[in-house]
Amino acid sequence: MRKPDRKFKNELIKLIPRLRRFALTLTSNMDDADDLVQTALMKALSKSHKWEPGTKLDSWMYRIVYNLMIDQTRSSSRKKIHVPIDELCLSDSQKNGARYAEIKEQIDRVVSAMNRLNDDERALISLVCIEGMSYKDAALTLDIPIGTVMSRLARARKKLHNMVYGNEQRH
Amino acid sequence: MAMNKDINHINQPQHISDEMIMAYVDGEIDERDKKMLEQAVDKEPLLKEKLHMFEDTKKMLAGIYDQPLNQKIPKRFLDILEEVDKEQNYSMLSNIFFSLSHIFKTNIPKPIYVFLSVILLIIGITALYHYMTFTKMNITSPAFLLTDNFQKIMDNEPSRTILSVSNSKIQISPLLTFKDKKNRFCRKFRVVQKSTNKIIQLIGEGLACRVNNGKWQIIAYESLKEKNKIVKRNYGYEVAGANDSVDEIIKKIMQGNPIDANLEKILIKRRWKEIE
Repeated sequence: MRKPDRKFKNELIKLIPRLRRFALTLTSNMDDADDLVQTALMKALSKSHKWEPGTKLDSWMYRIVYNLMIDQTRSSSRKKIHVPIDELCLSDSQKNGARYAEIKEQIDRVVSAMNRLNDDERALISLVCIEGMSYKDAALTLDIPIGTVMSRLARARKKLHNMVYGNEQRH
Repeated sequence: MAMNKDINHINQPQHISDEMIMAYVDGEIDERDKKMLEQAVDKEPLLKEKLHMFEDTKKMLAGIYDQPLNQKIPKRFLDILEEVDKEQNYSMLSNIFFSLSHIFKTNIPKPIYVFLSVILLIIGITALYHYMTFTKMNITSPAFLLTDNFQKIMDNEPSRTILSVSNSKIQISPLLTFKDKKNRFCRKFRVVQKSTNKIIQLIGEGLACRVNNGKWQIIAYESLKEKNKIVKRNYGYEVAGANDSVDEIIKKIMQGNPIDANLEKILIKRRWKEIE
């Protein structure tokens, strides 16, 4: 079994912030996200021989994180904890500004809507809309056909949009 | 942005799917389909609403989950990678003994492997040092010449004396002392062996010169091997040719005449310090 070399480890270090962000979209909770990433790192280091140099390390790692999340969801009833707004990325000017309440409400609605999507949908939206992956890379990451990526993603985005803005129509 | 209730019930052309609109927004559409879509969107304003809807889903998510990107990497992750580094360094040191344990089917604990690896390393370094010393001196002569005894004999014994050395079977005897053209003291020596029936056999003869650090460096050596066959070895003395005998080398490098016995005695007493 090949031991993880320094280059591999350096690449992993660079990826950690993005992995944490991806894990946060999946778990809605920073502590759970970090636990997920830690487990994923340990798994990656033990299975570094399975990664082919030259292939995309980020896709490989995202898949590990996603699969671990699926396993955890299946094995335990996952608490959906709403992410407190002040943990999220609000600048000081946004927190102190006149529109803070409005921004806060918007963010709250988006996060709540994301939490109500199923795991596949949330992962796809995260990979394409947040991580900026192409459809092809997302398909490789989640090991699904590209056509499935497109149809699920379109459906998920419509759902998300309806959940975020649908309430406005009812008010 | 308020949602238009009708967005999902517009009269959407069959060749324009939601996936195509989404792909247009995400830049995943080819030029041909892009033009076609743009023309369709120009004709049907509600298609534009759908397009905006897909754009909105990207915009609404922008920055919300970016907190980890703006933080320092938590120490717990770096510790995991550091542990692997330590493990790797540790196992590099002990790898050889892991291999040996597979061969000999032992079950030696890891710390012992590290200890044995260190010992092996010390032995290796010592061997390398000696090797480097030899190559620096440009010597590949028999081992008995590379001893302190040889140095002592060159330093202290007058020429034409047969001596016993610690190895009672091998005797080194200086034969001639002179100065070379580099102004160094040089001595021709002979190596003889006393056989079990006390017959003296010539093993070889050589030439050593006293270098700056006070050591006698072997310049040339001829060893007698395999029934009188002479094996010549010259040690890089620039004047000597590859096949020059020791005597031929002496002829080429000697300055003036050999040093007489009396002067030699004085020089030995003065530890080869010249009389001014």
